[in-house]
Amino acid sequence: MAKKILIVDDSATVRQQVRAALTDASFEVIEASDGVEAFEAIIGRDDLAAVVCDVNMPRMGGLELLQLAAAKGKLVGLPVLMLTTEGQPALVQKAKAAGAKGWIVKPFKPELLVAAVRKLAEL
Amino acid sequence: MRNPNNRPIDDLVFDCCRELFSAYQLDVHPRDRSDFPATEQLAVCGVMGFGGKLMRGALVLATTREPLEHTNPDAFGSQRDWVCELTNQLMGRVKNQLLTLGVEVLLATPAGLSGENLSPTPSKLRAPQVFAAANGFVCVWIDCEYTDGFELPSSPPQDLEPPVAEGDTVLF
Repeated sequence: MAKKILIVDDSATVRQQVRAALTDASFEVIEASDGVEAFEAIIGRDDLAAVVCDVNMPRMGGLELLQLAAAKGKLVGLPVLMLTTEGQPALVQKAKAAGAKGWIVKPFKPELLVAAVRKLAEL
Repeated sequence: MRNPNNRPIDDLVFDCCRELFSAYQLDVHPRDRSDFPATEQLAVCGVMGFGGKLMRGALVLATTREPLEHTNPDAFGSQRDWVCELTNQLMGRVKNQLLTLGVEVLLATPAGLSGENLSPTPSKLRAPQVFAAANGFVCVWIDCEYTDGFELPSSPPQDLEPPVAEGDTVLF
């Protein structure tokens, strides 16, 4: 059965780009357009294998999502890979401390994204 | 009066813009600022604000249809969404370059504009940087205000942790 990956990004184009890369690699994909939608998905499902998440988004950003999900104990066994334009070391450390398992700076190469998701989803 | 700090930030944005479009396999070629296309040719425009202790402002990216169509990874996707994402990625690059100089800014989320006669009007009579690309044009403005006495450094401070570079993957 295909592993389910939640993609969180406010850009429909980026979601489509990530979706194309992951479905080509035989993952099943679910989408959320901000942290609020993603939090609902993470809370309401127990079949996610990993999350690919932007940082700067309207309503709720990726770091806040990480902190909320961690506080609810939902990041145990659910790896989160941040996919963002941000490369600031302080933000990377903040994400790591909140429970993120990886960080990719856009623009991304699809094969590198797939390799990272594959590695995290199979942990 | 032209702010003496404009040249370094303009050069930084110029390099970031070329690198960004190159990452999407599109070469952009600098043109004279007087080659700014007629406003009715501009298809969409992205605007993104930023701010920090030392500087604040906004970045504007406006393009004709061709460069967007050439770079958009989703052939049927929204041009407005894509120009927002390109603006986001351009501003992310600019932020990362500023970080290497020890200057930190926080980013807003991008806004997209479309219309029949787009004509961004930054303050201080700033002309856009103009690039020819894919039989169209890309125009970039960066509108900055600086804290009194601040000059953009020309070299990085010592012992600065570099940002994660574009395209890099870090697993924890």
